[in-house]
Amino acid sequence: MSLVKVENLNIQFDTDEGQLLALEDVNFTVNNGEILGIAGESGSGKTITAKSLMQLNDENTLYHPNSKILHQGENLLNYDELKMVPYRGKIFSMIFQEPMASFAPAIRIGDQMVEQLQIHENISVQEARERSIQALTSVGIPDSATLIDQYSYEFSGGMRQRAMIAMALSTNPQLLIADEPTTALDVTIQAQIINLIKREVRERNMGVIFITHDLALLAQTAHRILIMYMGKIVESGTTYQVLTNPQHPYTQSLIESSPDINNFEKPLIPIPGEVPLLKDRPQGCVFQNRCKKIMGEACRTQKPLTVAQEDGHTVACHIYHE
Amino acid sequence: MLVTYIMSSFIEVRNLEVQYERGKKNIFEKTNSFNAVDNVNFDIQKGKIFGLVGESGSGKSTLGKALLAAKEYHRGSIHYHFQEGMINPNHLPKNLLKLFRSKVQLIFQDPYNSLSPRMTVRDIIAEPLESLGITSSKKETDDRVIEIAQKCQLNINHLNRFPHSFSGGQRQRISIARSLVAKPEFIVADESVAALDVSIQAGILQLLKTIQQEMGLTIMFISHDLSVVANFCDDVAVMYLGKIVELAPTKKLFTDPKHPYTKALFQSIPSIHPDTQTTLQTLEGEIPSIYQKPQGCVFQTRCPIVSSRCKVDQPSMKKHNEHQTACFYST
Amino acid sequence: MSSPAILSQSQLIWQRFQKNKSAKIATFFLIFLISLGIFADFLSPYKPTIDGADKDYINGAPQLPKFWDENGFSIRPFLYTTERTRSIETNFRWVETVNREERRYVQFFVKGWEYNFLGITMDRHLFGIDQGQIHIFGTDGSGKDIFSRTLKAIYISLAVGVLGLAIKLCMSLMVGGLAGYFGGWVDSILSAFTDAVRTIPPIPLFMALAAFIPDHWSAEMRFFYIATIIGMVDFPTLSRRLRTHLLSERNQEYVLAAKLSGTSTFKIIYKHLLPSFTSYIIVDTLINFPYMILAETSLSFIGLGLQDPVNSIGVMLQNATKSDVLLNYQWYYIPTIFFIALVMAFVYVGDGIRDAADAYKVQK
Repeated sequence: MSLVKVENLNIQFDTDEGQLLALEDVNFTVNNGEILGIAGESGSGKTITAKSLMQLNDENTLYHPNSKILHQGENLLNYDELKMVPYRGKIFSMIFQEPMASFAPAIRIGDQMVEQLQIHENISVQEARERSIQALTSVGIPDSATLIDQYSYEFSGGMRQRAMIAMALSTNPQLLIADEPTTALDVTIQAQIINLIKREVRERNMGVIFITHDLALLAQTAHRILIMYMGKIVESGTTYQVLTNPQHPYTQSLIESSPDINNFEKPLIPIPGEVPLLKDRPQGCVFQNRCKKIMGEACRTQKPLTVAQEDGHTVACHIYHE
Repeated sequence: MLVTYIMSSFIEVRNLEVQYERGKKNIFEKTNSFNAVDNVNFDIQKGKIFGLVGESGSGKSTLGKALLAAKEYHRGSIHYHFQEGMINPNHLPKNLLKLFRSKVQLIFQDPYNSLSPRMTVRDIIAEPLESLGITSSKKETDDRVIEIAQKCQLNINHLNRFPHSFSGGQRQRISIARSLVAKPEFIVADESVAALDVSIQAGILQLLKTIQQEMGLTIMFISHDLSVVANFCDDVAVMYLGKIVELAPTKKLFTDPKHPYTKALFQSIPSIHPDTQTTLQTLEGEIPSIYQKPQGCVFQTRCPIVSSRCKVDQPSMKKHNEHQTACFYST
Repeated sequence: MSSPAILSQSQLIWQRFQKNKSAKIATFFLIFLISLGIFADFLSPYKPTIDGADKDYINGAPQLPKFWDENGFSIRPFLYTTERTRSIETNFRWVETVNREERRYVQFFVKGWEYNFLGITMDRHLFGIDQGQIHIFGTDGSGKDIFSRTLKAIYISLAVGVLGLAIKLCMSLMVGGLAGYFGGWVDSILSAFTDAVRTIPPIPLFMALAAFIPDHWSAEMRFFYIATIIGMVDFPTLSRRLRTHLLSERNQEYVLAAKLSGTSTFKIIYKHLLPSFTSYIIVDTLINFPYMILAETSLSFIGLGLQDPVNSIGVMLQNATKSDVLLNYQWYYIPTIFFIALVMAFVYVGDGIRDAADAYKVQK
């Protein structure tokens, strides 16, 4: 069942150098009980997409009038600040890469969690505190009744991330947006956090958007994957489809350059060139400057359409719609 | 008649201990020091790439700093066997320090912070040459800078620009060029690709491999990313809380890990093949605080096969066919 | 416009600065005022000291040249001839009889009193008058031309400020630089010293230091002394900022990189650490300049600073407190306008540079 549907999301940034296209025709759906992975490197637009769901972008962000973010039939882009409040912490919840950034350093963890709950629900401080302690226990923090009164710097990196997840889940959100949640963590701690997220998805039937640059992590975590490059979804499908049968040249190159622990001697092939600056966005296909399979005029001048195959695997590349 | 050559390794580390002082809360408290690197032994052969892996608190960065003479060590020894003679990086006199710096260099992790923001790229790369007195004229310096910049695939027309106009990958190349301009023999690469996108990372690794072969460099590659280490290094040492728990050639280590920590580490690494989608095996608990190292084996608090012996005695490194492990029960 | 890639930080800051309208206007104004000071001698028709006093026109009102009256239009501005008398009938107030028929024409590039400009003795002045004297801002109690004195005062106040600033800069760089780079006990001692100087309230300190000036010191020596103590008392803030900056920056990776490249300590401070601090120094200098002027003005006003013949705005205002002046000779206060304008110009320019520099702190 579709939880959130993003339609025709087109975003431009208003900058000194003019209006620059940052997101191009982004369309996707997240369902309940599903982990949707968004993979991309720097400049891919994955964070802007995530922030758009909660309208956290600044006033220089211009949405195209046709853009829609649909939840239960309503377009969230039409909502004003007041109507967006429940979407920032209650219906939608977000966790970030830097756990230190989520918690104010001079306020106890417990006080922040209680404040979060009280903003979104009409409950007493006592009840909010009880629920927060429970939330901390359920993410595996020992002795939570005592630790809830500590400051964020007293927690280790892994524990802080758990606390952030606890805080995000304490309001029982329908959708959890996780932006690089494990990038700053040790690999053994990362495994614990991933298992925790997966368990919560199963138990609560909530949807998760999992943003990362680590394809291997998505391989083990996500049900479906979107591959983004320069603000465009170049390929999407189930994890199995995208990673075992990649169609877009960027996806293929990305996999070729990623190390594989099960085949560690394979040579890592870099993608030549760099991601262009926003103001140098190419006409035609955005990937043309670095594509190994570039075909010619079509790639240079025309934007490729997104073609969907029967099994739902989509790709935006001229090779597939000649 | 057999003539046996006793060849010493290029770098020999014996019983190395590196201490840090824990900050005092007031002037009356005694300084608490702890061993960030604890009784470490290994050799590095010339021309090889030696990988050092570990999680937070493992001491791998500290070990790198000690090897670079950027942090003094307190017990044990480090010996470099250069052609000019043997050098111990601790407390070097000024003239030897300059020689050492021209032979041993570091590539940093953070491409944004490791380049001086107010200097041109040319000046940044030229700095070791000028400070160590390696070149004697501006022309000579310029030539060397251009030579290394080309090797690192930097556009020589951009040498008069400032770091802020370059991308992360390009900045890392500048950092590498700076480290190589004095033609060192040994490079420590501390998380040098961690801050880069994966497609750029592959390019930097390729560059390092090419240059390593061309210049006959020996590299110590410190990283938390095991997949990269598996791909890039010849030998690997695994560290936990200041100790080396396992040391072996890459292939052996990754196909047949022996220490319980190494095994758990490998099981936590996600594979890019979705076929193997299973629950990632996790290691329970947190990494203990470095200030409260347990008596006995460092890994006892999280080890799946811990016994009472482990809580009392510290296992020493057992060697079997180039494969060393520090565990009482490893097979 | 060149691409930002090859511009240094200072060039980028300059570009940004130019987009700020109020700062640009303030800059032009500031340059104008400073020029008035630098070219004071050329612009002044009369010597600002007692030698140039006009005995016939004591406490005289400002004389503004006219271009036109009932006798016709004249391209050359002119003044009327006046006679001043005072007697018991007029309650000893000056009464002027104006002779509207006799005109005195203003002349330009006249020869006048000699002065020294950049080592060359010159005697040309921008304007003068064919008979008698012209006092655009009026005169003071001894007949000294206020216009000439004002311009000279701008010059002196700026000079004191510049010297004080130079001293302050040297002290801050030395004390803050050493404390910040080395830390440890060096820092402890230097910081204790800095804090001691900072906690002493400045005005009593100035007064105490100024009261010690021996009477036999020449005006120039007084000048240097005042400038020096102003600079020295003001060094703590900049010194502390520099120390903090160095303490945090010295742990940055690029400093470690420089150390590993074999660069000496001094060169590290000079090439790597200080350049990121220059924009702060420039802003701090410009914004604090008015305080230097204020400090000197206050001191001179209460008689502890500069004295005649060296005159600054403070000196000029010494005589302006009498009620006589307040009631009858209001033109004595004209220099205040210049003073306020100068201070405000500095503040606006300083603000503008700080805004431009802030946007270009080390960026990713």
